[in-house]
Amino acid sequence: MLHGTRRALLGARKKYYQRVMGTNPTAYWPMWESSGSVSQDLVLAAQNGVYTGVTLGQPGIGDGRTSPFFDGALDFNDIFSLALQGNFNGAEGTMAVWARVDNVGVWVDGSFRRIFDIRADSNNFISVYKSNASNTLVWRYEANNVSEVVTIAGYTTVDWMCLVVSWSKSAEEMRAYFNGVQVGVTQVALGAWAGNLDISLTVIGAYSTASVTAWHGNLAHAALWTRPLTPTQIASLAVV
Amino acid sequence: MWHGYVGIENLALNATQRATLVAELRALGPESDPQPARLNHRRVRLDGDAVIFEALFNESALTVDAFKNRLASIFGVDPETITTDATTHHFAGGDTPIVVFSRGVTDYLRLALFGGVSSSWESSGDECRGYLKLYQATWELAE
Repeated sequence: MLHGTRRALLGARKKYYQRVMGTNPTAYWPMWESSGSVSQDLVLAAQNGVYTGVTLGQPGIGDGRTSPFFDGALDFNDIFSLALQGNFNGAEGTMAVWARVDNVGVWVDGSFRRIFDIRADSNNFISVYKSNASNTLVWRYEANNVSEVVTIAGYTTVDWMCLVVSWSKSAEEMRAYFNGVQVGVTQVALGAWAGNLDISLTVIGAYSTASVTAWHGNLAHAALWTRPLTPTQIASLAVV
Repeated sequence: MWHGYVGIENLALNATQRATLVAELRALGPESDPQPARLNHRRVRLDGDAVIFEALFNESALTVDAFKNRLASIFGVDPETITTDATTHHFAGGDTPIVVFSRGVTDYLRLALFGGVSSSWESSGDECRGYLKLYQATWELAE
């Protein structure tokens, strides 16, 4: 009884996905399915994604859930939907994804590999990707052909990484985060986003539904907000 | 059954012949599977003249004779008139059999069984990724 009282007083710690949901995301694909082709969006079923080629049920970020493996060749999660297209805000937002490379060799494989790519066209897109330059990650926000880029070299980890990009036209800021900490300098003087998300260019784990520049490793807990999260909120997202 | 990656490259098939072959290959593999990786899915080269498939294949559908029969049916000819030339390539340390199918003096199709049908899925994937890296300029968009 004492144990139960103490528990009642202290409260049970929320599970990771509950904490994400507590930030009121616009879309949230935990990618924890064990089977099937549907990538469930916990916010809105009309925004469910569709897996191609991934291997489900692989080790997750440590939250007791699993993640899909992306093979770096043919796999991706197509998250385009008319609902997402309608709910997306190119001027204000945050996108977060957990990622890990399959092995240390991926960092030096000389290939571009997309963690996610949300794109209206070549002049309006948001992406986080591994560069073809060794050990390098890139966070990129482009609006009306005005490009904001944060490029950080020196990564060798095979552990999970919490990768976040936030953007705000009203504040004229784009920020990149690695494991809850901002990296690079805050980018300023953003362009004005134009256009709706493209049906084949709104993807987790690749550039497009043609599997181009596919991710090689695991991805999990992809979430999208229509506002820039605060640094404190982003730091919390990086804690499992 | 073999879970792996298979590539085809069109060398001289016309559009109709190519579409017929691709349609037949898209039908290989299970109709359903809990894992998306084992369902037939593909990636097309940027110029449209090569395709890589991944699925849980019945090996009997991937033999040289099976492809000769497919091409013979497409051409409306005796399979014995289809000749082959086989080599082995190494894209990531494994062995990838590559077969060129010809008729007369014309090469029509190149087939790659990444890692070979006795390889593990992981090894087949390594060979496929090695191939994609080697031919990156024709399979990936320039950044």
